[in-house]
Formats: sequence, structure tokens, C-alpha cells
Amino acid sequence: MCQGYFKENRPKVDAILYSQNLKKPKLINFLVDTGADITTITLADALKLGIDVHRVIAPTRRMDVGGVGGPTDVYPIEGTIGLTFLDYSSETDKISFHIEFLERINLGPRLSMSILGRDLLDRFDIEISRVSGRINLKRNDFGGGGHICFSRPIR
Amino acid sequence: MEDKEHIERILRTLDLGELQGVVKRGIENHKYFEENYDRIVKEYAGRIVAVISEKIVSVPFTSDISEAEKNFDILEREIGKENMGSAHITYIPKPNEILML
Repeated sequence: MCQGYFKENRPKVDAILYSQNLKKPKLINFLVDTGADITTITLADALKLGIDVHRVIAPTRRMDVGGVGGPTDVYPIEGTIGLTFLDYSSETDKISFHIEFLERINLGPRLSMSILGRDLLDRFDIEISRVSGRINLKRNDFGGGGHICFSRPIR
Repeated sequence: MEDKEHIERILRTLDLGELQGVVKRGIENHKYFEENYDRIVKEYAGRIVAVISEKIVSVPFTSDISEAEKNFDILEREIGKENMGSAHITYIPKPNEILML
């Protein structure tokens, strides 16, 4: 299970992004956006990840996407990327690693927040409870996509 | 098959200890961010903030690549390259700002 939280009434979840092209894992703060078709990161987060934004943001790679806030441009970042969600259980004193693999994410230069879209969220049964203040993403094993889960004791 | 190879390559290079370290520091930064959120909104609404070890650095939000790179250099210089992985970096919406993504 991956757990999120609310900030300013917006559902958020943190994930560590990792790929063979990224030298160091980086923590990225995502908006859980069940209305978005694709997972997209901001310009600031792309720079944080060490992505060559000049190569990615090229006119020939531009994709126009529609949104309820109006159309915008996004640019694909190819290459398998691991998104790692970590949770801690005080009962077992263990930390769980849940790694999802996406074949590509996208860069949205005009976005102010990075968003987890349905290309990833469709793999989960999602519970968003404002009463308890909890957001739970429970993996649906029939949801497609590669993933690995395991836990290990805190050292 | 190619995807499987990509995944295996990623898993081979995963350093769980490093991941745990990133998360541990990330949680501390997030906690500080939460505890000081009201002040952060007052001072930094409409900007991007980076929180690291109880230090806050902010830069303007921009969709211009060159400006974003300059701003990122400022963040990296102020909070340290080695701290970027676990820094809590986020855009602070203005009060009542409506985001339609």
C-alpha cells in the first residue's frame, strides 16, 4: 500500500524517482490527479532529476494535450523509470518498498505541480478519505504494468 | 524483453540504504514544511520553495527554461547539491488560487 496526504485540500503523494539515466534517486512531490491521463513532472522537478531539459523540450517532440484549465504542451521523457513509494510500519518496525515501473513520463513546462496520472493510478484501487485525512493506493495486481513490493527491517 | 532488461538494470543499481536515507531526510524536511506551512504561504505564495534541514529557499515560478535553470542553480547553491535528493521542493499556491490541471 502506498500512502498519501492532504495539503491545502489537495491529495498528494511522495515518490522517489530512479532510472538508469538518473545518477541519484530524488524525492518528488506529486498531486494525485485521477483526471489526468498521463504522469507529468514540472520543469523544476525535471531539473532536480538532472534531466537534460533542452533535449527534452524540443519543438519536434511537443505534444499538445487538453485539460480542463485549457490546452498545454508536454514533452515525453522515454526510458523505464522506477517510482518508489516507501511506508513505515511501527508495528513491525519495517519499511516497505513499493516500486512501480513506467515506460515513460512527461515534462510539462507550464505545470506548477507534478502530477500522477491514470497511466500509473489505473494500477491502484484508490481511497481518498477526507474524514480520516488518508489517501491509500492499494495495488491491483490485474492493473497492468511492472511492480515489485518488499519490506525490510529498519537498521 | 527490452522493458524487462531495463527493469533488471534499475534493480541492480538500486541502493536500498541510499533510498532509506533519502526518505528519512525527506520526511524530516516534509515535517518542517508542514509545521511551518502557514508562515511559508504568507511569505512564499506563488513561488517555488525548497526546504532542507530547517532552511527555506525560494525562487519564482517560471515556465521559461533558461529562467528555470538559473533559479535551479540558485536552489542548488543555497541548499547544496548533495541535499537535492531529499529536499522538499514544491510550488506554493497563492491563497484561493484555483489550479485546473
